[in-house]
Amino acid sequence: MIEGLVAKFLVQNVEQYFVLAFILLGIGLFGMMVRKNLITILMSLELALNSVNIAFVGIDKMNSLIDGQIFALFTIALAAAEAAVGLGIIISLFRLRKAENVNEIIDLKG
Amino acid sequence: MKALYPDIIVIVGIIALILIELVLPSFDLIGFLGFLISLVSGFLAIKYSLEGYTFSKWLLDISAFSLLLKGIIYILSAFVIFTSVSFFKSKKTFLENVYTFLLIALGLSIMISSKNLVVILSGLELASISMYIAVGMLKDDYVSKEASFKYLVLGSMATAFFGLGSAFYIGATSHLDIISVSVNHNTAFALASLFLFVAFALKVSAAPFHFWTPDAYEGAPTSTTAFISTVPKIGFYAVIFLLASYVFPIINNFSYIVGIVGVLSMFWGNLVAYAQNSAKRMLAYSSIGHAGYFLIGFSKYNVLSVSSTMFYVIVYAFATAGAFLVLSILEKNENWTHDMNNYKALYKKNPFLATALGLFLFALIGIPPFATFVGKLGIFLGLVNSNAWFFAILFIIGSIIAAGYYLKLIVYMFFKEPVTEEDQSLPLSLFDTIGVSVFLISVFFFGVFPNVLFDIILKDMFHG
Repeated sequence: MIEGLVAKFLVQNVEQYFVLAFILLGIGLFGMMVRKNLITILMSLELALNSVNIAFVGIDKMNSLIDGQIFALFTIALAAAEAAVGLGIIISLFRLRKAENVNEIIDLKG
Repeated sequence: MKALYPDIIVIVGIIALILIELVLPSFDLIGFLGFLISLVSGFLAIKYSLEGYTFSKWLLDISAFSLLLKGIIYILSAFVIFTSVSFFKSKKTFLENVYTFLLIALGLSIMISSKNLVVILSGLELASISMYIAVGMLKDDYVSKEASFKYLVLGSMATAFFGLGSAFYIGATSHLDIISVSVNHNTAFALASLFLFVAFALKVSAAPFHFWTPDAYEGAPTSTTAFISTVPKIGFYAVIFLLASYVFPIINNFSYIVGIVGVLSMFWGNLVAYAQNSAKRMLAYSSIGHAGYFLIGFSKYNVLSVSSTMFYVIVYAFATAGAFLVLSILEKNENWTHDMNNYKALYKKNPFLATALGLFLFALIGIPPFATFVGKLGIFLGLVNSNAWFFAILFIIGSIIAAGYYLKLIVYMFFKEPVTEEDQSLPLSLFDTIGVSVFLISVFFFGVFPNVLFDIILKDMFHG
């Protein structure tokens, strides 16, 4: 019975992976634009980066390859490195000015 | 195997520098060793490139052309490190600056030594993450951290786009290498090339994606600006050349997308540069304008325009690094902001620096004795050869518009009266003089004898 349920809810079309990936990328971009808190912006960024992994999984299912999954491992590691650097920068910003919102860091005018 | 030696030297050198720094934390020593490592591997790479060594095993594919670019990247890094050590000593920065530069150069070098998307991503991110860190390296300086955060957020978006582009590339072609493929009107392939192009347009600060550029360049320590505005460009344009030779020509009319992004960024950068009061921001907008020229050069795949764009990127890197390094030497003085008024009568205060900055600015305009003129001429002739008259004429108009703001700074330096009457001459150390002279001589040399570099580029660029 459980196997039947899993088969029923498993993704049938490969396109659904891409739709999910694009929705996550869109949520990530939208969050980066509307959110004010610096850490939330970093979280949105991670969401956008991780949407790539879902696209890779979909591609691999479509072509029955493993190259995409290896690529996804690299993306996960790089996203972690970027998050670490980003958190470090946020901590040093906070130490210097107690700033935790984007509308407090507007000294440089784009 | 010999083609790998330059990178191995740099990897071992970086680890050695980290260990030496624990025992002997001295800026002079670390700076000198970093300069030496970078210079030795740079000359070795150029020597092997001329002797025709190649290496293609595992995921790597090092051609003579990528060895040449590696050599130029390392030599340029060596002289930027050489000139910036005294700047870092005068500011409150970290000792890690030197090998952060080497890490950026190493990442770029890995990026251009493969056609595999995984290796390109790894090198790109090694360079990019090191760049985010390098921008925020000024101790107790708020603006530097803010610039670093903005650069990180927008730069990581480029990574996400690169990943999506690679996903669609694998989907359309079933392999990870950028080699010539045959796909007909494949939507996945079109999306792949669009995403990959957007990722690199963001990295080279072309116009709709340029918003991080003025902030990151202004907030960074000025020597770091000299580094991140020039050396990474060589690597990024090498990858754009790879895309322009294998990916873009497959899609109908993709050259118009590249060309229109180029035209947009040329006009945006060159027009907004007039509104800037700070010389550092003005040079940042000038680099957006130059991204426009280079993308127009890559829009049509034509032997003349593509090879002269690569030549132009290299000599532009020398000229811009020189200009930013002169700004960094000036910034060592007390109370120096990069406001235009500070540059009034600079010629009376320090004739050498004023002349050097003036010559670099003339080089960026593209006045004939300088090497950049050869690049501009080549791009124009290449566009005319491939009947792209529209882009050729816009390219000339954009270049003429650009001349004005460089001349404004030159007029401020040479013909304006100083704000205060007191005579304050600015000091200049021997190392700074040598460093700036190296950049000045190379810009002159490649302008008078462009064939020295241009022949090698033409010989190697299209065989690999």
